[in-house]
Order: sequence, then C-alpha cells, then structure tokens
Amino acid sequence: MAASKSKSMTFEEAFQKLESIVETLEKGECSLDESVRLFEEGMTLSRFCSDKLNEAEKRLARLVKNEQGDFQLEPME
Amino acid sequence: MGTTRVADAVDSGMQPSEWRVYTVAEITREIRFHLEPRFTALWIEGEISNCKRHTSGHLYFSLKDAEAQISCVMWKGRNQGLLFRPEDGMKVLAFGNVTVYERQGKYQLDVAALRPSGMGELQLAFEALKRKLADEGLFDPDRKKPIPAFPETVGIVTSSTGAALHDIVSIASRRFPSVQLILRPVKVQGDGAAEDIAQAVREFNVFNRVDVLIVGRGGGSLEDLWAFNEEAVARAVAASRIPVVSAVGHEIDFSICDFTADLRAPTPSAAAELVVPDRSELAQTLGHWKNRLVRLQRERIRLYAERLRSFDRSYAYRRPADRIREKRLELDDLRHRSDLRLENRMQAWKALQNRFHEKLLTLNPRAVLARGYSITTRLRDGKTVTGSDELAEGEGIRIRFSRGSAEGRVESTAAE
Repeated sequence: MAASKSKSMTFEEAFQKLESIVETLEKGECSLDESVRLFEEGMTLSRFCSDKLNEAEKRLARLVKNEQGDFQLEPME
Repeated sequence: MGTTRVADAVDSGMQPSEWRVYTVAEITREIRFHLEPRFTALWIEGEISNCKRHTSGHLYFSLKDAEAQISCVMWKGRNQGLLFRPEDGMKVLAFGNVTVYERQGKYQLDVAALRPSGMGELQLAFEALKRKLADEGLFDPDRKKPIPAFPETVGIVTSSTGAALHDIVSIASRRFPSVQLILRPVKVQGDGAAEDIAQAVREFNVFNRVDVLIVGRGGGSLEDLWAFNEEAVARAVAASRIPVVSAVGHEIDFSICDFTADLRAPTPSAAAELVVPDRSELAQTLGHWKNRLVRLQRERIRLYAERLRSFDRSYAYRRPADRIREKRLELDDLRHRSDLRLENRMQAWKALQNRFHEKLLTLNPRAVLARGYSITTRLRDGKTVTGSDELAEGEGIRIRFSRGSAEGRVESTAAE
C-alpha cells in the first residue's frame, strides 16, 4: 500500500516523510510493531527517492502558445 | 550700444523712411537666426513650475530660480520615455536647445532630456515605484511564498540568447540533470521588454506546470536592467501563484522585481543554485538516512533481543517457573501425605471395624443366651423386661433362651 501511495508522491514529500521516519525511529518511542512498519515504509521511500534522483536527464524545453492559445513544450538545443 | 543710438536717433527727429523697416516676421526670424545657433545643447538647472501636460501629450512648464524663469516645452515623443513624473517644485536638469516660437514671439527651451537633479532620473523612478509598491504591501515578508526544496520543473523567464539562460541551464543540469527546465523566451531590454516579461510570468501561471520560476537576466547598465524595475514586471511577479526567484544583473544590482519576488538571487547562476538542489548532496543525505534507518532497526532488534535475554535471566522472569516447580513439589508432597493419610485412615477403619466386629460379636444376644442367660419380654407389649417392677402378678411373660422359648405367668415379684 505504501509503495502504491508513493507513486503519486513528489520527491519532496517522500524526502520529508523519510526524514520524519528516521527522526521518529531515533526517538525510539514507538512500539516494535510500529517501528517495523516505519522501517519498511522508510526503505520504500528511500528506494523511491533514489529512483527519482537517478531519473534520466531532461533537456531544456521552450514554452510556446499554439494557434488555439494552448501551451505546449518544444525541445530546445 | 543700441540704447545710445536709439536715444540719438529719437533726439535728431529721425523718420522711418531713412531706416530699414522690418516686418514682425522678419525681425522675429532674424532674432531666431541669431539666437538659436548661440544656445544649443545646453544643460539648465532649475525648479519646475507651471507644469502642464497638454492633451496632445506635449509637456509645458517653466524652469525658474530665484531671479528668472524660462519657458520649456518637452514634446510628446520625448517625454514619453520619462521615468518620472515632472511636478511643480521639482529640481531638475533640462537638456536642450533654446528655440524661438515665432508665432508668439517667445523663446523657450526645447527640452530633449529631463532628469531630476541631485538624483539620477532612473534612481528617482526606482525610488518612487519602490515606495509606491511598498506602501501597497507588495514587499511584505508574509506575502513571500516558500521556494520548493525539490522542484521537478523549473520555469525560466529570460532571453533565449543571453548568458543568463546558459548559466542557469548549465548549473541546473550539473546539479540535478533530471529537473525539467522550461524557457519562455522574452525580450529583456528595450521597448516592450517589461510587458513581455510580465506576460511570460502570467503565462507560466496559466500553464501551471512548473514548481518555481526564475525571472531575470545577466548584468548590464542600469538602463539595460530597467525593464525589471517597471511596474508591470513587479506586479506580475507579485501576483504569481508560482514562487518566483528574481535574478537580475549582478550581485550589486537591486531591482524592483527583486522586492516583489519571493526570493532574490544575486545572479542568474545563483538562482539556479538556490532553486535546483544538488543531486549528489541529496543522494548523500538519502544514503545517510537509509544507513541510519538500517542501523536504527538493527540496533532496536539487538536491544529487544538483549532485553529478552535479560528477562530470561531475571529473578522476576524466573519466578513463575520457580513457583511452578515449588508448587509441583508441594503437590507431590501433598499427594504423598494424603496417600499416607488415606492408608492410615484405612488401617484405622480396619481396626475400628475389627473392634466393632469384636463388639458386635460380644453384643450378639445369641452369644449371651448361649451362656445360659435368657430374655424376658411382656406378652402385652413385647417389651424386654429388665426389672421386676415392670411386671405385675399374674402378668403373661415370654422367656427366650438360646434355643427356643417358653411362656408363663408371674407368680410373684420381689424388689431385689
């Protein structure tokens, strides 16, 4: 469930969630069950973030308005 | 010289026929021809008074000081580029030629350029707009939107040919190659630049698919950077729902756009660094967190295991087992004891029974009868007679022997 949820997540959200999980675990106030759940979620988030970091290079695009007044992107360079 | 000649001529009763007679136009033109070449390309400093903007767009005013004044005109085509609004009482420097307006016989300064004296014209305009927008609250810190820490798409409003774009693109792709950069090319200086920049900011807001905007250009003169000091840009930036990072010129250049933007970057390169996170740094942080996560979990498991072991060893944990063992012993003991008791009781019962048996044997009336005793009962009620007082004379009795019985009548009784 956590994995499917992270698909729609932004890198920022995932990154922040991961940080808070690490903090929660560091405080050590949660139960063992909870910590196992957090650990698993943390690992999923970490994988998601590193996938994002390793995404393919994107090229510069140009924002242009077509005849219909809609915006579209044109590759540049 | 003229004064003397005129006085002499008047005194000598001169006539017009002896003199050259000018038409008004001729003399005016003559004056103009003499005057105008003498007074070209002048800077005149004075205070504006009687300032009027004609519906035609021309600007009329006087420049005066404590002792004199000169009429000035600034034609529409020239005053349109003015970056401040001339007002009465304002001290200015006017540049232009003295011209003669023949129709009214007046000379005036034909102003080609006007700037506030003391402060540069652009500075004045800058300060005026800055004050105006500040009064409207457009620079308020609580208006500032946070810049997203990890934008996935960055919009860029700058010239497609400038150094700024090159700097932003190269820094962004070095830091985080997978960040999408979208350029809306604009004219960054000259006529229409401000409106183009403002429009680009608005278009990105309609497009609505970028996380943050960088608006700016590379370094240049104050005039080159001017578009970013114009109200249209300042307002479009202030109205943007997408956070805007302003990056105009060099570190020392401040623009109005900087003040209405959510963040000012000293240069376009700096903007790219502020907006686009560093991939390797992030990867490092991420790795660090992942390690911490794993280490924490390992540590926690170790801790729990340790605690389990210590429970195992602890007196408290052992007590239940001990007690069970104790109870079992107790139980065994009890059972043993109860077994013993049962045995004893059985024996006691057996002994008792033997005694009863013995007793029963001795109590058996037959045994007594066998020894020669007999039992006498009254006939009337069958009661066993144990004393002579229970019998009356002539009473019917039955006597039981060990073997058989006999009946008879009482002859007499005696007390003992």
